[in-house]
Amino acid sequence: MFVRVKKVGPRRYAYLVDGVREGKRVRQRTLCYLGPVSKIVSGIPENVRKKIEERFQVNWDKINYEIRRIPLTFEEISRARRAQFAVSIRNRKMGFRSQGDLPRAEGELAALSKLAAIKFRKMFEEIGEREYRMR
Amino acid sequence: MTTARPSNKITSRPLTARTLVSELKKEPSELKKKMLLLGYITDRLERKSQSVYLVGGQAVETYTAGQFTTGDIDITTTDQEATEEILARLGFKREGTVWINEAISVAVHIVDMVPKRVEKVRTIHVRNYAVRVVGVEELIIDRLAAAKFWKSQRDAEQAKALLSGFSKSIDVKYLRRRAKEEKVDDVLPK
Repeated sequence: MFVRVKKVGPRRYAYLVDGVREGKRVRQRTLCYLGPVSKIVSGIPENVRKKIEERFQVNWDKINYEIRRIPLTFEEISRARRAQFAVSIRNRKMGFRSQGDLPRAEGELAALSKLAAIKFRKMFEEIGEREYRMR
Repeated sequence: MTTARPSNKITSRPLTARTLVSELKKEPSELKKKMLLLGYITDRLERKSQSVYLVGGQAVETYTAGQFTTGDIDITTTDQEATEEILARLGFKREGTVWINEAISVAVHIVDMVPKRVEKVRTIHVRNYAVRVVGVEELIIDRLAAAKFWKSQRDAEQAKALLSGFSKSIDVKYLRRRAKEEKVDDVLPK
């Protein structure tokens, strides 16, 4: 049993699959859908996990290890951050400014910072000292 | 003889509250939507010689071009009553200390009545409006304070991202002085 990523349009989705021998060939059989790659990088949601466990015996350590090894695009990292840290004003409490305490992957913050700087330069034209115009 | 037709571009005329809301509903970029809204509020307040500044998470979101997102728009204003009046005219409803507009999915939080420090403020022009955003230096100090005293890892990351993105335009002397004043000089990255 392993994780397979399929690209549908601009987005990538992850599936749990296994290999089935058919004569001399081994065919991949899709067992279930895990979710969009950008969503499952921070962990498979509890409800999906429970549904899968009702049908299969899964070695989650192995699956999580495989998910962690999926190389992410900048867009996926960006989407993952949005999903993970969107702060709901209704849930905001004193002392909590942001949510989520999952550790970042190595080099992720540096990549995000670099991307932020590039996006800022693209989005805002510097027109004077401490003055910008939004494109 | 031909006569010049007056330009009927919306951008050349000040928007009414209703036109603005209808434009904001159509705006695909979340960041631009928020900037236009703030620009409008700033314009209305500056006509009364008052001011409004973007602070907090939304300021980080702006300086990182949406890379580090937030939920609401935190602002400080010199005239809370007038600001609330403008928000109400735009269809915002008060929910505790937050003003929410469900039609455009935006929440505004007036966090402070008086802006604390405005000397390093940056101005962002969007269409005919200007948005005043708290200085990057002040934002870094604010994030570092949250990181140090609230043990917030995310705020520490935002401080690092801002430092890295604006390394060339930051007033380092000012930053160091403010860090000392706020007792966060020990966590200020070298």
